[in-house]
Amino acid sequence: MAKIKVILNNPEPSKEVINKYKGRFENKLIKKSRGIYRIQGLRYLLYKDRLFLYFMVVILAVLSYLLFEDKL
Amino acid sequence: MTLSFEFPLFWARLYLAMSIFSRYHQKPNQIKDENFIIQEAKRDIRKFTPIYEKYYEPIFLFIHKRVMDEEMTGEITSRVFFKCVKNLYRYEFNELPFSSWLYRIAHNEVLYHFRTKKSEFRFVSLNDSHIDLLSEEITILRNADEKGRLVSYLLEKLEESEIQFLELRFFEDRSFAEIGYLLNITANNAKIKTYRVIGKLKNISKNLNLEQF
Repeated sequence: MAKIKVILNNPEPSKEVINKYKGRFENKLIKKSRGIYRIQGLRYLLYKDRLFLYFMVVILAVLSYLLFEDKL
Repeated sequence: MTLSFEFPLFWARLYLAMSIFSRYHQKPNQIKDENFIIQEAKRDIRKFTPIYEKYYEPIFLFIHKRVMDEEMTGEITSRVFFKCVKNLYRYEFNELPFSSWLYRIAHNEVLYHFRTKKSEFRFVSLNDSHIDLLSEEITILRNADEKGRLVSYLLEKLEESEIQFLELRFFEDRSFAEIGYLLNITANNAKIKTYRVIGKLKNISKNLNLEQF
């Protein structure tokens, strides 16, 4: 457990300092996230539009049944 | 023109841009506008940029106040946004500003940082107005210098789990609902625990030899 240390009237880091880290880590973030960007859309579909996906699965199942039974 | 199709998003962005430097509580319509951007960002993550621009600095400062190391703060801040982007699809609107969710991730990341690096100090950054506010709560009637020393001494007697309530409520001016959300407890519980910590501080200060301050 870390010890508590109180600091009085410590100035906040300047905007330049903050932006320095922002620029630096933004690149890292984008590199790391590139894969996520690609799968984000699919993930959202899976999470939010589950009903739509279930519906598509049922349609595909019915279609493939009809196809294999030569009823199409 | 694409502008007409993105009309609500345009106004939401404009509103967000206008409030970029505001550190005050958000109004309900601001919260809803922001949520609109988040819903858009779930479909296209590039639309997350205005949120990132708006909250990078506040999140950086939130972490810096606790860690007091610029390099480490930058690292933790990047982790916070990375986790945010990664888990954005899980975010559900709950009438609280989106920043609460971000601060919740930041809070957990700071806790994780201190759990893994046990020898480090957990810093609490105070200014004169924080000291005055806390002195009023624990009814310390002293001059400014003595108050500062006494409040520092009292806070250093607390555990990390206790000091976070004072920090969030009195130094960062958050509602109990938001504190509850951040710490994964109910708003009522957050209120009770905050005033329990104040009670503890009052008890410690009563039993102190105040002459040494």
